[in-house]
Amino acid sequence: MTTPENPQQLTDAVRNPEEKELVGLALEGDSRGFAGLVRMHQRRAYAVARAIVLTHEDAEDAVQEGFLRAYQAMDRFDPGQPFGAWLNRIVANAALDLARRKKVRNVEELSDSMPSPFRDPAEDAELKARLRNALAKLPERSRAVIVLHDVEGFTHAEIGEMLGIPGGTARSDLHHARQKLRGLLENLRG
Amino acid sequence: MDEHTDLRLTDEADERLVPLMRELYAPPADPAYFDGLESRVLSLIASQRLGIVRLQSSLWSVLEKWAAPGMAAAALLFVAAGLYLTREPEAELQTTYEEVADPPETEVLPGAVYVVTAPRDGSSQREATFRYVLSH
Repeated sequence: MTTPENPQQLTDAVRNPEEKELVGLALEGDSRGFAGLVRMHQRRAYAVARAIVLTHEDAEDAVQEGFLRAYQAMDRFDPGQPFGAWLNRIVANAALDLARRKKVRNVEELSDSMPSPFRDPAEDAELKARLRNALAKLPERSRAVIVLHDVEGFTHAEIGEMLGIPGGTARSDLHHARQKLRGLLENLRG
Repeated sequence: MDEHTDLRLTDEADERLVPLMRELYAPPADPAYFDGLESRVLSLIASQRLGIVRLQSSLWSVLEKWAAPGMAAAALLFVAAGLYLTREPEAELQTTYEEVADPPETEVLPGAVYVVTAPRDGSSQREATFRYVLSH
């Protein structure tokens, strides 16, 4: 199944009648319904979680926790709403909880030991390492708005909904997060 | 302009940084990874559901274990309450009878107030006391 690459495609995806059918099955307690929803949304859920936490492993944990919470709260889901947006909010919350619990970890140590199985041995590896270091030093919400907006293509409103903040706050957070990242990258010059 | 200066972001997303961030945050490319993740999510949900069922069944087994002693205790309590309720009016009647039949032994009621009157010759209490002290 292909994953939507931008918000418009995402919007189209949530209007997908297949999703409605799966939601209906899940609400009736048919396990095939929720299994189908997991298959349909797990990539996007991973992207949301990965934008907030620092490692691939933590993102996977947050995705699992998010799906579990969604399953447990399924009776409170409004079938008139897009399932993906609801799920992303739950996954984002799970990822934020996880990030807060792991905040005590040393960023420097983390950046050295950070597993990066998907890193290309490209010529700009050093540049990437500096960027990874700077992003790791950002507060989780700042990192999340940058990655969700610039990498994943979510709108300010969608980011706001996921993180439980107004769209305008997400916009200003993005501005401040970029400034902060810029400052961190300048500091890394020395 | 050196390599590091190139890292600076403007208010818009930096065109050079965004592809690098995409690489850093890219989901695993191997489709098998998501098959595995799906299985892990569904296993977690299944184990959670199984856990709830087990918890419910263990609660019922505990209740079943306590059902017989609980019923016996409830029956004993019922009998005790019945005996108490039938005996209480009898005891109350006996007490009332004794109160009416046996008058109090003393005329002075507990808590009675003793009134001290002033001397009858028209002098004040203070003058009477003074005279008493002088005469002794």
